[in-house]
Amino acid sequence: MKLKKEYKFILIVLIIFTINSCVEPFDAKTENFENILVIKATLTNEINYQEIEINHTYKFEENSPIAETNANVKIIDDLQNEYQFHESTDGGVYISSDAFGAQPNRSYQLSIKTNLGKQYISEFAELPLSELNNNLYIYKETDNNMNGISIYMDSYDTSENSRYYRYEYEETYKIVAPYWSAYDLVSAPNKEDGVSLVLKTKEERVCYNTVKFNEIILKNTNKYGENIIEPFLVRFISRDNYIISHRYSMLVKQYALSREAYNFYETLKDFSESGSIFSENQPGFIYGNIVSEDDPEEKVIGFFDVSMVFSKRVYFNFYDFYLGEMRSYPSSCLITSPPESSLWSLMNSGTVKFQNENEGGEGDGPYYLVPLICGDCTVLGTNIVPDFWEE
Amino acid sequence: MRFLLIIILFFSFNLSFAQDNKVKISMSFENSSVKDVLDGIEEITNYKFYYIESWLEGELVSGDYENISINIILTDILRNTVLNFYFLNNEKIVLTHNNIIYDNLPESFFGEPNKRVVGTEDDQDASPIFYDEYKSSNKNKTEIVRIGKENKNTNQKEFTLTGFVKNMTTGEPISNLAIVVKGKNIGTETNNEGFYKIKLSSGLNILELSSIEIENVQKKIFIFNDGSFDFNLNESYGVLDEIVIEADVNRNITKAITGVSQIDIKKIKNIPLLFGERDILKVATKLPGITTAGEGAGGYNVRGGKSDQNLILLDNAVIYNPSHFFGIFSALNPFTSSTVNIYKGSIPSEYGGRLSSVFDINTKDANVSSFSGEASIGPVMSNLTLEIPIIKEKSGFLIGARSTYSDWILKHLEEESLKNSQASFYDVVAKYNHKINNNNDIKFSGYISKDVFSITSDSLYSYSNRLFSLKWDHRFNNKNNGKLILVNSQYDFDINYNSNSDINQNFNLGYKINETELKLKMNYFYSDVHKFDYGISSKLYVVSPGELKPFGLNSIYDPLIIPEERALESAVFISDSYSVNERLLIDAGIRYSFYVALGPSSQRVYEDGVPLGEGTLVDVLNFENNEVIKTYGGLEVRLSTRYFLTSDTSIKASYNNTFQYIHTLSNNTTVSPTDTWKLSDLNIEPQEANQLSLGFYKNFKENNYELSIEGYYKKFENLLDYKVGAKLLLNEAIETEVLQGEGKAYGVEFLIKKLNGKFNGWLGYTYARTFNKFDSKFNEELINNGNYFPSNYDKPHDFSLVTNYKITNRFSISANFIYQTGRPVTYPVGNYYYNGAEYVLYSDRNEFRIPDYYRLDLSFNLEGNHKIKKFAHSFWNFSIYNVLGRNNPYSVFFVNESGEINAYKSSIFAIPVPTISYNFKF
Repeated sequence: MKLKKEYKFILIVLIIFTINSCVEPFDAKTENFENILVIKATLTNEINYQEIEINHTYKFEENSPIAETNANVKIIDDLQNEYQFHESTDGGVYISSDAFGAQPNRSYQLSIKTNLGKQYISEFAELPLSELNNNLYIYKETDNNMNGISIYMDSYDTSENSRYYRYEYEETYKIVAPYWSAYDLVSAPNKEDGVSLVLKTKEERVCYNTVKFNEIILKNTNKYGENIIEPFLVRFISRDNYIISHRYSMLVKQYALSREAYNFYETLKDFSESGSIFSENQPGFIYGNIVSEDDPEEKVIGFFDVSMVFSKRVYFNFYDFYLGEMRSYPSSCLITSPPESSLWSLMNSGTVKFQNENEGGEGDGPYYLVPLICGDCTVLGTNIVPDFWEE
Repeated sequence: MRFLLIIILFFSFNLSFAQDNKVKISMSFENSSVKDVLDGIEEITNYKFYYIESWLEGELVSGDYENISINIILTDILRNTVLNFYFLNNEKIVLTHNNIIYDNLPESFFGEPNKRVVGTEDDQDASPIFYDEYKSSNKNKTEIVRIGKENKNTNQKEFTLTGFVKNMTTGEPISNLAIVVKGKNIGTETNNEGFYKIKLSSGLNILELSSIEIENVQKKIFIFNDGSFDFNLNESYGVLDEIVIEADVNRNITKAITGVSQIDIKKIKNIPLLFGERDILKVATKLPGITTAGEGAGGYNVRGGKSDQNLILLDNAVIYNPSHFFGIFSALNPFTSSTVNIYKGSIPSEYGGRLSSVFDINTKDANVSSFSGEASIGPVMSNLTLEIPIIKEKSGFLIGARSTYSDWILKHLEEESLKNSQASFYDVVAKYNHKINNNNDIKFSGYISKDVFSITSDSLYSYSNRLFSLKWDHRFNNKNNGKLILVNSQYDFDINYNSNSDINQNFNLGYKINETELKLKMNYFYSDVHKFDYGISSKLYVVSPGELKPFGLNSIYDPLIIPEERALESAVFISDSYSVNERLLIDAGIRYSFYVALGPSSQRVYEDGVPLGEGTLVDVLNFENNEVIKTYGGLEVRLSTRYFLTSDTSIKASYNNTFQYIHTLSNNTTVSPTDTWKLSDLNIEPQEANQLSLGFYKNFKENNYELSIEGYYKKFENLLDYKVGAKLLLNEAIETEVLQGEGKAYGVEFLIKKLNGKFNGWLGYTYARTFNKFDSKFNEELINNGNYFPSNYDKPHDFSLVTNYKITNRFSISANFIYQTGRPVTYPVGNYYYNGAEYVLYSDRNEFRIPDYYRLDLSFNLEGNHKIKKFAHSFWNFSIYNVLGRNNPYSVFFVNESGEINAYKSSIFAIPVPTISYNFKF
């Protein structure tokens, strides 16, 4: 009888003991919200229109950053040359009025006067000199677990000066609509008038899509080793991924960074990873190299990074690796032939595309129809050929 | 039982004092305290009463007497107490405090005088001796011990008495036994070997001996010269805890060292504790200066020190993780522990290697005369301790084991999420003590503890401590003794991740640290004025910092073994306890510690003057086995003084510096309980601390109240902390992820204790601050702009009240109340967008605080009855933890769940937790 009593207590204890039940979500209203200026500024040696983004931090319950507008943004070099920036149509993005690039042995400083009249400046930064040779390699992987195309990069620096690199990459691929027709089936304004076949006026067969990757990739070499970055996998694309079904291109930009800039990105990168317990890390504020001139204790997020950029672009075609094999597409492209009575509303809904006329084949209707995505590539990309694109 | 007592009281009065009660008086009183009545009798008669006031507290009596014998009045008013009275010389009445009834006493109850004692004589007018009432003989016969011969030609007023105190039945030396000269406020206590030394004024002295295990004894000593006298005392059988324990009655004021707390394991029984578990270290946190980061946080923060800065010793061997289940329970078995000394101010020179404190815990010696045991049954765990004599009167074996049964119950639950979870732990302690002869003792102890628990259903955490300790005590002569200690301890943890959903993530991670120490410590009682302690020690560390074993063919992890680290830490130490005069005592010690990081190892060398990082690596040096990688060392000063302002008031001051060659890295913003220890090496320097403290101490009302106020200021160098963004686990180049900086801590601790009486307990309040600072010319090495910021465990206000009220002999209630400022945390304060991705903006390090912590606990204790013949003495405890149901968050943390930042708070016990536990002793 004694035991019975205790059993009850044990149960109470156990319920408390399961840690899961002790952890409860709570509403972290950002009552302690700090409005801080966020500046992303990378000046490269490429003669180009340079871009600087200026935003503010935002509350958890908000979805996007608040752009800093009407700021006076300029870069000044040690010879007092000023490079003025102006606000673009994209909120918070400032573009240099003239095309220019960072020169060796010059130092640069970013200066920002905000809408509210607060003045921010960066530390002076110099272009890290580098004589980099980098290469992209494309391999066909045939392993069962990894069947597809891998893109590797390596580099070798002959200058031995720069040892810190950041990578940015983007891919562009050609999309060809598998059931494209030169004709469109168009529904008339009134249902009574039915549908009619018209010649397409818009390019819907061949499109292109460009995807930029935000992942921070950092590599470094050290004095102890040679100034070589061993080949590393930039991207693996599965055999079945439709993006390589025709022609694919990858651009990798390798930035040679200062040690300070590298560290800034590295800390930032630590916070962008999530997943296993191995990625748990010490939270805190990440110091950059931009300060407020009025209040040195004021926090500013961001780094004015002057870096040398080395770009590499590669192309490959599907047939280079999978000649004569089936190409993949995001839809299985079921062809239907609905009765004429339903055509007007179907075409009006915009979910299907005309493929061909039904001349006594299967199905009830007069036309074969396919899902929109199978007949119109603009669903997946843009029909404008990118400037750089080479066939 | 009370009936029995009263009957015996009457019986004995009639027998012994029939002639003494001729005086008849008249008086009446209503609801008066016993003291008032006694005062009244003193006024109207020539009688004088002798007693301790605390005995009379709380009792109210009423009565109306007309020409009645004083004997009857006293019998009536003392009926509800455990007091007895005794007529002395017809004019003095002594109240005695009896609650134990003996059938008889061993013949040598008062010890055997040794050769130096010149003679004994019967003393018919002996003062009443406590516990002497029920001797089988009718005659009150008491021995007087005479030391030396009276020499009329000497003017010397003071003589020194030395000797050993031993347990008569077991022959064990009795340590920490208070020896107090009655009415004179002079006292001493026996050391670990049972040796004592006391200065007595010439002539008659009444020595009172009292301690936990031993019956209180008084001894009359006539001293005419320096001499020695050994006591052989009897164990107090059948004594539960209601005897007034007077060990260390004036320890508060007499010891030179500052910031020392002693916890008496037997006394903590009534303090309400979680799940009714008596817990030594939990009680320690209710004393000023010792805190934990929160409920469920392993480790203790002593005076602003990090939790890795405590040297926690069990029988001289280090316990790396003295906690079970995230620190909810301590891993120390209360049944097997004897004393705990906590040094938080000045640390004796024999200890080193940690900056902030020493917790010196000793396992009790096994009973060598008879088989005995103790057991408890509680809702969470059960505990059984047995003491088995091996060679009668020479050696004994003690074994104590505790274990949970939660796993068994979890498996039988319907609820799926509970069924698969695990939470269990156990600990076992064993000790063998062998007395070879009067001069040689050998003690061997072993300890093991293990915890296994799952936080999520797919991960299994476990950790384990194990240690061995061998100690040989040798007495060379009356002035010299020494001990040789060999210990080994190991701590390891293991994380097993076994997910059903993604087998590629499965892994096993292991960590292990092992240390072996050899230490020789000698005591030399040079003279009354100088007592020396000196010795040498050396310790070998072997750390296996981590091994990641992926399992499953396609694990996303690569196998990784971070290579072993080895080091040797050695020290020589000497200290002198120097009594300059009666008022001033100086305890001066120095310690030289020397640390050698040993190969085999690969050590990374970085560019000078820039932050350590992969890119600033310039070389990797390889070291052969036992090749010296780097040495560190330093002189540590341990100085403390005591000065008596009056006989019961003292001030103490101390200065202390310490080195620590081993570090942990912990982070309290995550849920993983995995602190790893790192040895100093080429890139990580030892930590250092300097502490100054000053205190004021006063005992009053016959040492019944202790008051202390202590202030300290502490500076730390080379404290280790993580850089922002640092990865917490499995770092191959940990030096690139950490910073070494400064710290400072200061505080004032106030403590008042009432030791005896029906109502006892203590009240402590601490105001303490602790700050760290990480400054650098490199932005990436800054924390909070290089300014001082509160450390993770900075809790300015800390208030504890521990009280115990005894309603009757058998029934008592206790209450604790604790209030603490919430500890600092780093909060996410917003989002920002950078380089195409969303990031969380964090506040400055530890800029915010979690809500304040407060908690009230109650407990009701019921003693079983005290019949001698009963098989076992039992004790029921019913306690409610967190009566107010306060939801005290332990931590707040933030999880990025598919792009959303979600906030979580974990609190361990947000509702009142009732518990019943049953203890018995046989």
